[in-house]
Amino acid sequence: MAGQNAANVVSLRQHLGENELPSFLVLKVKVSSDKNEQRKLFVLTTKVMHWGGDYWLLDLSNMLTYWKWVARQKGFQLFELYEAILEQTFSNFTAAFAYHPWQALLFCEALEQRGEKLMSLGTPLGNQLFRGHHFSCWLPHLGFFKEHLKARKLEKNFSSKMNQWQMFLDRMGITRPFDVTHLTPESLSRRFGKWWESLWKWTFSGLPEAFDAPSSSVQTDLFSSSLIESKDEFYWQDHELEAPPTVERFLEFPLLDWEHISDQLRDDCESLCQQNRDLKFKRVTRLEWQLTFENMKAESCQLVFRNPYDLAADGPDYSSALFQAYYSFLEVTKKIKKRDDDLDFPINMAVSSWKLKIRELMELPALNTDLFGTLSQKLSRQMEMQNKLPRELQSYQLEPTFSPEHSYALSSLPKKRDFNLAQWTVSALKRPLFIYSKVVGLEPSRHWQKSFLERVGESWWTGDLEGSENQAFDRDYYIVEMESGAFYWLFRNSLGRWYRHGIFS
Amino acid sequence: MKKNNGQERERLIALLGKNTGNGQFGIEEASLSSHLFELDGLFARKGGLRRGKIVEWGAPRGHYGRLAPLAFLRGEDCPPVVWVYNHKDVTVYPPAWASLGIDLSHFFFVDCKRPLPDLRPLFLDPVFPIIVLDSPSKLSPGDWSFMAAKVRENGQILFVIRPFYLKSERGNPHAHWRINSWFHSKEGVLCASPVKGSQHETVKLELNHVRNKWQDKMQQTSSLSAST
Repeated sequence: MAGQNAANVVSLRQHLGENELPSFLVLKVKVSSDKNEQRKLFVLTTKVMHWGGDYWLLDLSNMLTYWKWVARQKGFQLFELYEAILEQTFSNFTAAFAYHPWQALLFCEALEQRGEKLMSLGTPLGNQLFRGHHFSCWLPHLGFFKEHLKARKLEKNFSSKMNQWQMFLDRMGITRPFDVTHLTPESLSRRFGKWWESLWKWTFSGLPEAFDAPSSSVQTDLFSSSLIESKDEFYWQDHELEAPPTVERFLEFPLLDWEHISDQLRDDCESLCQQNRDLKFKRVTRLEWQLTFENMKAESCQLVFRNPYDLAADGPDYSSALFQAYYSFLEVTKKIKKRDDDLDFPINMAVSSWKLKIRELMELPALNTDLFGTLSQKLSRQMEMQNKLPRELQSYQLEPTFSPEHSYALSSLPKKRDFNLAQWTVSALKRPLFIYSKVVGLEPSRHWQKSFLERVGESWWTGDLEGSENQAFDRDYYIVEMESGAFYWLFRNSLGRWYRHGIFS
Repeated sequence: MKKNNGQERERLIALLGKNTGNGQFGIEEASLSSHLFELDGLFARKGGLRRGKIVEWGAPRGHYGRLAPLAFLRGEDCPPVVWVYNHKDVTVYPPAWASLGIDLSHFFFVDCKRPLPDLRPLFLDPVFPIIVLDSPSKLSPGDWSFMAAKVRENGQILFVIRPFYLKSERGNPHAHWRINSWFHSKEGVLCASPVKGSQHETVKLELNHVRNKWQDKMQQTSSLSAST
């Protein structure tokens, strides 16, 4: 019994409960300008940004599924796996996981001040530490933020706003952001400008104190035209170690058919691997294929892989890369056809040259070099298959609730639960295999053959229904045989209105 | 329970013997089983539902017809399945699938109107030993030839579910079995009627028997965990 209890002890530093581990990581670590040294930053993800000084931002969201798989395979919690990789890669670091890059920066500073090494928001201890952080944690990062804005010519007088902000805090005697959560982003915007509105929103992203429409989204292209309008977005700029490995091809004669293009492209993948022998210690998540057509117009195709792709090992077929290239080629040709429909160009425009670049590369950490070997073959092959398909394969997991809409969730990897879901599973026995994306109202008919199935109560206690049409409504579910002989899953709400929810297929 | 199973099996063997004329029970060990003797019996004459085979099901929407193919895909020992569906305005409701015994951890769904050419890699690499195409919008003779060749080559099992009843007048040379499946509301039974591949007459299964087959086991597990 004592042994069982010991096994169930979970550190407050790691316990996330039902929460997912946040996907933004800030790493404070001394890294020289040497490229080989900086490669270490890419052990967890392909998306790395240098924030300033020793601070590095890592976006792990596109690698989450992969790392979950690896963690499951190695018998680690995801947090433990990240910790092990960081420990092995860097001798001295401070790192913080959070729901937004800005939030992660503040949290990392707070950890640094407390002498902590690694923690995540969403854990009891992490949340408590972050709630107690001082505005002094903001100072270095406001400075870096000012530099980023200046470099992009987005704000000229941010320094004066910073001074005003500091004076405001001093006069009001405010020391901690969580003491003044009643300050609205709009009021800060009026007094200090739009950037303070964003900073304030970002600080509380993903937390119960979050303001309406919290933004955890990240603007991937720093120089996109939508940059100015989308002030809620954080301006991410990928850190590029060196010029991306590239192969350029000038065709002897223009090519139209995929069959011919694919042969040449396969050779180019081979050339990429030949020129970059160290690719076998790396994984690709994005290739860029820049096509130039006969009319000298260029089009860029992004070949994005859902899971880290071992380009070197995929030879000599390079089937995953070629499948993704094929889907992109179809899209581009369709787009060109549509655009040039009213011109006198040929119906299909032939390709005269292209460039193939590796845009995103992940370094395999020392701990990770055997990962593909130790990942079960079945999982590894499923990951490869996901890379070859144009759309994602969806898998689901059950949630412990009787409410039909909330009783399942999309899941890249099902959570391990420490309780049996049998009673919720049994409750779905007389529910249909397919439900309608949109619940549609129906007029009842006397020709219906109906039989009562169950009564489902709305979750009035969550408060989500306040003001909504469905407030505190019970739903009586029926199986109804319509005149056509087909069986539908219908419900009648407390007002006696009928709705079609599913079909028994 | 064991006795009942035994009786049922004897009845099925007798039935098979009567229909095939030789009395041999031809289901091979490696075949996919629905754990429902009557349903398995439809496939017995050709050695059971084995790798490399194609089954075409006629199951109009709203008539419970998908319960028959689903019976072959339940349980933890079922290999990974990809279910490609093309239903207008509807999406899958996973709890109902789980309640029928489907192991969601290795069951993948894709909403795709044209599985060929869009999902061609599924047939080129046998990562998923079982592929279900539920109501594909259009399959040309070329598509069928490609699928049949690849399924045979890779040792996959392919179910193609049609949203209409199959007729013997309009055949499909690539499908090893063609079976219509529907719920007969007056009799309260799930019917499976072979159009091709079996000499059986329509098989009738109690709907609750098909659904509860798995539930008995789950409820036992549930009560066991509650008592502990």
